[in-house]
Formats: sequence, structure tokens, C-alpha cells
Amino acid sequence: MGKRSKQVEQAAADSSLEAEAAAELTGRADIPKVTPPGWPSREPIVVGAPTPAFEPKTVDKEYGRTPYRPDTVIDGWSSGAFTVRAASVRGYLHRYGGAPRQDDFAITVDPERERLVVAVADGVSSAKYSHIGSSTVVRYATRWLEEPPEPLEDGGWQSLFKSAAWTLTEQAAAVLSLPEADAEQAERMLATTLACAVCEPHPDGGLSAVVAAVGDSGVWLLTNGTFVPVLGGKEQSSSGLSSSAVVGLPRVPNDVAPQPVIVEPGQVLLVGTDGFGDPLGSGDGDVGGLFAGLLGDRVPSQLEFAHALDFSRETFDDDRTLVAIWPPRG
Amino acid sequence: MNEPKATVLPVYFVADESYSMVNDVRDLNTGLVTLFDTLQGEAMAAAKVRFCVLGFSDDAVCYLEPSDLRYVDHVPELRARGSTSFAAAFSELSNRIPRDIRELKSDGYLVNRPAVFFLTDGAPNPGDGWEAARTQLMSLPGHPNILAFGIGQADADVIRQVATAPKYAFIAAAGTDTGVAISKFVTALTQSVINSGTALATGQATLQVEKPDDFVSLDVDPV
Repeated sequence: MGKRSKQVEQAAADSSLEAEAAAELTGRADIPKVTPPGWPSREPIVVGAPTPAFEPKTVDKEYGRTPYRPDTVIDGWSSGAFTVRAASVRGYLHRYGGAPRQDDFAITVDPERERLVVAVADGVSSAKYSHIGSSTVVRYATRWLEEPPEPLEDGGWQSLFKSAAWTLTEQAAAVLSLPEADAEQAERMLATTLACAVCEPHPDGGLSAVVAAVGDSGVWLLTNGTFVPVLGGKEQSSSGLSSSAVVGLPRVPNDVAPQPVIVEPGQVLLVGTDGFGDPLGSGDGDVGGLFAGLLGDRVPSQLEFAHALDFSRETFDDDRTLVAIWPPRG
Repeated sequence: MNEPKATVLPVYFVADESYSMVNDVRDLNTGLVTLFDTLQGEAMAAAKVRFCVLGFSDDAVCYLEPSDLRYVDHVPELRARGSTSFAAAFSELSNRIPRDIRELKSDGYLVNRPAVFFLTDGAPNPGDGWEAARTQLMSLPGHPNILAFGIGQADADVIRQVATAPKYAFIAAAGTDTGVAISKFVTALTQSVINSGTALATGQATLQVEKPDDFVSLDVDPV
């Protein structure tokens, strides 16, 4: 076939696409419509009974409109030994009520040293400016952990959380225009959880990570479709009742217990807030099935990842943040 | 814990039906209708609540077993009858709360600590032992948060004793439209209980009140 014929064919194809577009507009039924494969992105993925559908509200003035707080943050890339997908989505209740996304995350990677630092925070819902609190501590923690001023294995984690708590108190003084730092005011207005992970390549393949947290955010290892809890999550009280009560910064646990974890090729390390952890439960239900299918065999695109995290399930309407880290395939 | 079906908050609306309520009971029933209507229009909040209606006078009567209000057509009607036995109300709660929690959990729900909205217009029967009945209720592992609401001739001291925290004790101002007050009160508090969240001073963590010695100051982004 000559060059000219190819051009004609291309022109015919273009014209056919135009006709299809025109048919979309005019509603003509004689041209087949193309349905995108997979999940239609215009709808949430429903797991069980859905949350009611509505158009989200903008953030109310009372929470402050600067700095601008987007509904959703999506990130994803590969660098050296690490492949990362991350998203933070505003919960359905906050979208409905005009409240900001109180979760946040920050990630830094040093390609030369092959060191990945992840921080995830969940602002305490009763603290009005906890969205500022969560952003403040994830940024502080990742920068602190990039160049730890003292060895992590020698009490460094405790220092990190104390320093992050103090930064939160200083930030509160700035936000609230207080004459001096006031930890009680910081707790009342900016309290937030904080979970951190530091990952390095393991000499035998995979990754070697250390994770630590204040509050109820969780860390899991996804292995062969099973979510193995590594850290945190909600503990059932002796009464067997679940509780939304949480200890957050600027309150610092008397003993921070960092947890080492090896991530083998084929496994995925997950750091997430309770907005993800609560509906996941033990991970052997439909929510676990959704994420095991999404993350287990391949690395999803950024948008796929965020779309799945934004799933709709009745009464689970909290903000959700999740960071997934894959080691190199063996 | 398997994958939870949903997280629910059991809410007990406990209303005084003693004879002194005869002039307020119509407002109370209107308030209940408004409450049901409001929660039915707030599907996300309603889905999280299992709402139970109890009335008490000489004894306690359950008019609505813990229910998802989105699926309730009939609003129960309270009456005015008999005396004011707080003891009967607290004993009924002691009997049913553990049972209700057990049933919800066996249905696959995560259950938050129950909330009791206790409404009265008067003083408890003298010597009926309500303080002991309340103590027994509060000794249960699944003991509720009690929000006490006094209208009419209610005794402020008694209201404060019934409530589980000073911030949960309310006395309506004279002349307030009781029905509207009840409805607004319950709707607002239902939402606030759902959203509540800070655990203070648990002994496991201390407030960081001073700059740590080794504090590393980083540039904090201005807001």
C-alpha cells in the first residue's frame, strides 16, 4: 500500500471518529458506543452498600481557605529500588459537610543513598485545624528522617515524635496567633496522628523497613492476597466496643516501639490511615479483595490507585490515605 | 476482627412519661417526628445510628427496638402516665444494652459506645434507688455516655448527676419550644457523638509541653 493510500485511510478513520463524536452529541444510536474497560471513572467503586451520591461541597470558611486544600492528592513513581503509589482522599462525610481533608502524606527519596521516607498523618476530627496539623507533621517528619540528627536505633524515633509534637505546638501558636507556644491549645486545635516508614534495599533482595507510629494509623504487609498487620490500627477495648478516640500529637507515647519489617519481592508494604484500616478489617472481606486484586499482581496507575481508595461503602466515610511501596521484582 | 459490615452507634432516646408530662407529651411526640424526618434526610448519619425509644414512668417500656431509621415508617408515640421512676429507666438500660451490643456485633457491625439521651421534666421518685441503678449501668463494660436534658420543673442538680459529664447536662430555658429544642438537641448531639474523637490523658502518652533539648527546627511552611 502506497503512502497516499495510508493518508486516505487515516482521513477516513478520522472522519469516522468525528462521526462517532457527533453521534454522541446528537444521540444517534446506529454507531456503537465505546465503553472503557475496567472501572468507569465517573462513578465510585462500590463495596457492599454504597454511601449516598452527592456533589462535594467546597471547604467552609471556618476551616480557613488558605493554604488551599485539595479534595484529593495523588502521587506515584519509581526511583531506584522503590516503586510508590500514594493517595489521600477526602472522606464522604467531609465532602458532604464542607470540611477539609484532614489526612495528609509526604514522601522523600534519596536516589544516591537509596533511602525512602514515608509519613502519613490523620488529623483528629474534633480539632478544627487538624488538616494543618497533619500537613505540618508529615513534612517535618520526612525532612527529619531524611537526615536523622541522631541514630534511629538509639532512641531517635522518640526524639522524632517529640520534635514533631513541638513543631505542631509552634505551628499552632502561629495559626492561632498565640503569644507563646501552648501544647494544650495545639492539642485542642491541631492534634494529629503520625505514622512513618524508612525503607532501604535489602542485600538479599526486597526491602528492609522500619516503621513507627503515634495514633491509630496502620502498617500492613500484603503477601499472597493476605494483609499482615505490622503496626497500629485500632485496638478493641476490653468492653469490645470500637472507639473513635485516639491519642495524637502533640501527645507523645512514653514508649515509641519501632517495628522492623522485611518486604520481599512480590510483597507490598502499605502505610494508611484508619479511613482505610477500619473498612479493611482483617483484610479477608470485599475491601481486602479489592486491594489485593489492585496491588497484588501489578502496579496500578496513579489514577486507578486513587479511584480504588475512594471506594464507596456505607458508614465508612472518613478521609482515607494510603501509601503502597513495592520492592523490585525478583 | 473480620471485615466489618459498618460502624454503628446505638442511641437510646429515654423519655420521661410521668403524668406531669401531660402538657409536654404532644411536643415530645412532635419532636420525635422531626427527629425521625431529620435523620431520614441525613442518610449518611442515619446509617450509622441504631435508634431505640424507651419511655419510663412507674416502669420502662420499649417503643422501638434499636433500628436503622431509614427503614422505620412508624414514629412511636409517647404517653403521660404514672410516676417518675429513674430506677426503672436505668434498670431497663442495664438489661438491654449488653444484649443489643452482642446482637449488633454478631451481625458483623463495629459498635461505638452507646449514647443515652435522657429527657425528664421533674424529680425522680424519692427513695427509689435510682442512684444505685445508675451506678450498676455505669459498671457495665458497654456503659453508655448519658446526655441528660431537663425541661419544665427538672432539678438542675439531678440532671447533673444523671449526665456522665458536666458538658452532657442541659436545662432548657423557660419558654423554649420543647419539641423544637428536643429535635435540634438530639440531631446536633447525634452528629457530635458520631464525630467525637479525642482521648485525653490516658496515661500512655504525655503532652509535649516543652521544646525538646535536641529539637531540630526546620522551616515550617507558613499558613
